[in-house]
Amino acid sequence: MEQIIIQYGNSVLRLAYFYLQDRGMAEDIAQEVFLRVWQKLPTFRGESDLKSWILRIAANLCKDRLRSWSWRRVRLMEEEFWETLPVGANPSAQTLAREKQAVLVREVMRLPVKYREVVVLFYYHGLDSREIALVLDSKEGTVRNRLARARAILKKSLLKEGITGA
Amino acid sequence: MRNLEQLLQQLPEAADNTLFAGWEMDERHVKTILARLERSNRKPSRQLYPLLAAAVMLAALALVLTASIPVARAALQQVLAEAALWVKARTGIPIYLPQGWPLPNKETGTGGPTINYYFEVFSNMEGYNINIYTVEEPVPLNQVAQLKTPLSESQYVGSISGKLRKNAPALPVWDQAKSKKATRLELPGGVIAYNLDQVEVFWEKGGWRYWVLGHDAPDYAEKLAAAVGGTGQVPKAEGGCVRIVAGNAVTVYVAWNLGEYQYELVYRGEDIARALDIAYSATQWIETNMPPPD
Repeated sequence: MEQIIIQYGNSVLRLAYFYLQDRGMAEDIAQEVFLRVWQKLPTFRGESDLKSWILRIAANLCKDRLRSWSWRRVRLMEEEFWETLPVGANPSAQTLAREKQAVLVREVMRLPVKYREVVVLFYYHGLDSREIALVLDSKEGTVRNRLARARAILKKSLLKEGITGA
Repeated sequence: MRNLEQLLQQLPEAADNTLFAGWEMDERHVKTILARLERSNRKPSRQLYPLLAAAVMLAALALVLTASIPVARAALQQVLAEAALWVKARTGIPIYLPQGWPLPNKETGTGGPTINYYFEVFSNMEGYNINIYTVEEPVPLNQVAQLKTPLSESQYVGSISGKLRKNAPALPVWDQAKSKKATRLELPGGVIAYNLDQVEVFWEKGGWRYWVLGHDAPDYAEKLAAAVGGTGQVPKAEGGCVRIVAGNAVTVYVAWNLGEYQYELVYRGEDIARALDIAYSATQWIETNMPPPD
């Protein structure tokens, strides 16, 4: 089990963070995820690969957390957080690329959850649309539509932020 | 749009630099999780109680279909056959049973505590499933309401099942796994296997697929390859697969295809060779196979 945690721990932590936007809660969720993996592993029948299966457990737990009353209360207090992510007003040429990346991350994190999750699983975790559909228990067509919609939203918001290359 | 795509391709680097800098699943996290897993092994999670209660209620509903068959240590083989008789009345497919189910090692000596098996049997026209549990007191087949305490995962010792064969391959994950960056691993008997991240090991031989998943996967793969080399195979099987999952317990699954049917034996325990022996001993059950009562 230790090997599974080491192998997939970072993927779980980071997926949880993309949902919850809080390191402490992501670590808390990661513990829950591996507890579930431990309990459910004997029932894993290989319909998806192990990583997709573990990420599916993580995504479901994160969405449960997002739906909980206590979570919503916490986020109401922190909703301005992303406004404060530091992005230099006049970045030097040397740091321009990094600033661009910071804006990209901020705009991805501002996406509604249903678009953010497909973007993160596709671009960050490197899953294809079929695997994402398995993780999210959704249809492949729905995943592709959401990816297209997410790209359209991002293009608009990045242009607004002055990322003209988008 | 191409520029946006190029930018999005940078998301891993961008997120790692901004959101996740200096944040990893480190040794402290791993130890914390393992300690929690250890604690969860000692007592059943409270979250499972409602599920256990629901399972008991569902099983109680099955009482209307039950037969009254006493289960005792000495009569395990007969009870297997009686479970088969119960199944036969409710299914249209041939029933395969192993020639026996060895008692746990600690129970094989004389004078030890008597061990009883409880049988949970499900069946319809498309298949059957016989789950086997160890219990303290003899309880008739499917009479879950007579159990003094709810069944727990630790009492489960295995299953025997058969069903109509579906077109889906036994291990759909196979092609995906082979396409990934797996490293070669040589196992006993010259078997060449593939090792994926030390967590999955798989190989194919003689129409059979072998897949080991979980902690210490390469070690279990080695044991499995050695066990396969030393035993036979299911008579007349047209290929199959052996799967070992090492989680909070080690479970060995042996599934094989016969004509339009697929059978599976599940064995809970670390003795892989024993699990294969039980599976390979399976023969078609007909009523005349039933041993005489004690």
